[in-house]
Amino acid sequence: MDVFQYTFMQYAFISGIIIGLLCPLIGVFLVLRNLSLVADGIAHLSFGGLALGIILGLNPSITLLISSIVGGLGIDYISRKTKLYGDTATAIFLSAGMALGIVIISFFKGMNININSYLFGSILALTKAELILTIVVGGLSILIIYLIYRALFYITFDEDSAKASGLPVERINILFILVSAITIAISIRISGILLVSALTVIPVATAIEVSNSFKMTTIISLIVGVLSVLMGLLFSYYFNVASGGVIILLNVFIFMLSLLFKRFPWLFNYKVHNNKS
Amino acid sequence: MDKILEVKGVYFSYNGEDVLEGISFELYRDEILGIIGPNGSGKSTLLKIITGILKPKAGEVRIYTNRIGYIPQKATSFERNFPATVEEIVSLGRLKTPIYRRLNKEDYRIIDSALERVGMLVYKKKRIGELSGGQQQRVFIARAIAGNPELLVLDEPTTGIDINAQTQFYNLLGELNRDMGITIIIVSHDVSTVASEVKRLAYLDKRLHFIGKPQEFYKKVLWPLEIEELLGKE
Repeated sequence: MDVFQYTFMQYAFISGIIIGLLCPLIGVFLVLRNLSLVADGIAHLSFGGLALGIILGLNPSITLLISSIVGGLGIDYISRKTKLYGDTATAIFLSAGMALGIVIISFFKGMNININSYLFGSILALTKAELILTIVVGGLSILIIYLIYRALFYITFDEDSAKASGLPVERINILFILVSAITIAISIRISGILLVSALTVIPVATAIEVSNSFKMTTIISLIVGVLSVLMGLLFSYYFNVASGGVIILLNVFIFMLSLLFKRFPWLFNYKVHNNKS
Repeated sequence: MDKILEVKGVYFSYNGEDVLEGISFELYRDEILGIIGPNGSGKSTLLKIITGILKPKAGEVRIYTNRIGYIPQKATSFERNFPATVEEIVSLGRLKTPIYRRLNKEDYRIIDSALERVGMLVYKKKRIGELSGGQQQRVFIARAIAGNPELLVLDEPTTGIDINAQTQFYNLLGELNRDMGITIIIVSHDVSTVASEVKRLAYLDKRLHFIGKPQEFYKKVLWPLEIEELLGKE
């Protein structure tokens, strides 16, 4: 196909596969721990960091990464140490980051930067340095989650029992927040700040609908994640629309199919299991 | 007798209010200890301190094993749609250091035998949320015994379970204690059921008011209390 002739499309596809895997991989644990909003919080916060980095003349990818990590750890710390209800801490951080970004950008109107590509995602925007950053940092993150996968599963299902069994729960939690923040930061270029959390949440929601086991949920959400990103990039290229939006619309579409599949399996010519085994 | 646990002068408070005051007792291997007390008497907090989930404000807990199985009060209150099979839940009991270790054939054999032991092997591939409360409790017992525990700590395990299932559940605990030599601590607010199943009974209400044989508890604590109440009413 002619799309692969272009270096920028090759870059987009390679990093697309990585974030298509990574986002649902952290998403499984975020969703099942009722922390779906945290990814959104981190992403919006990083907008402030991004704007700050731009006016200070720093590399936007690096400021994105740093502000995401600081934001992730901050949200985690504030929600644990204060008595704020539910995800209030996340909501406050989310607005604060966005507000900071908007104020900075409106103040320095003449900035030579395309903010839209960060907000909505753009396949054209990826540089070689960013690609390498994505491969190294993303690859490392996938490896970390792979190694602590079962421990995270235990903590997600029953944190107290995991603690009693002697698992270093606090350290694993911090590591997970770090990896989540990194994932959000490197995914923003493709899916955009406004939609990055959807890529962590929707493939998982789809997988939960159709699978019985934790393993299947993980596998299906990874497949949905990668497929939606790759198809979204192709759409985005041929119809010249923002990649983030297309990827998320595809995800929503697949999610709706999964709802149909669960309620009307015969529509898909699928035999219903007899539950009385 | 061989000690498995020593609790010495343990204090704990939530938001500045003491919930445990100077708790001290010892537990010996092969015992079944029942802890009873009214709601908010600090029973769950004491279990969390024993299992290391919470740190005491003062005092110390010495525990002479690192193989502890814990079944929290809210064990069965997970999201009903949580995507995990019975087998996957029990496999968590095999999670040992190093934590990145993958499960091998031996692990799967132990998981199966733990499920067999609690009579849940046929449900191994079912989603955990599809089971009844009593069946789920059995699965959590299987998770605990898959870790080959020396001490099993259960917090209100029979809440919301019907009478038949409760009897079966206590029979199972008795078997684990007898056949596998597992020491058991069980917290409940249901005096009569627990008292008939345990070797020693502790009555907790911030302070440890009584610890000893169940029969003595009736004589020394419960009956005097009831008589007092009766006399008071007249």
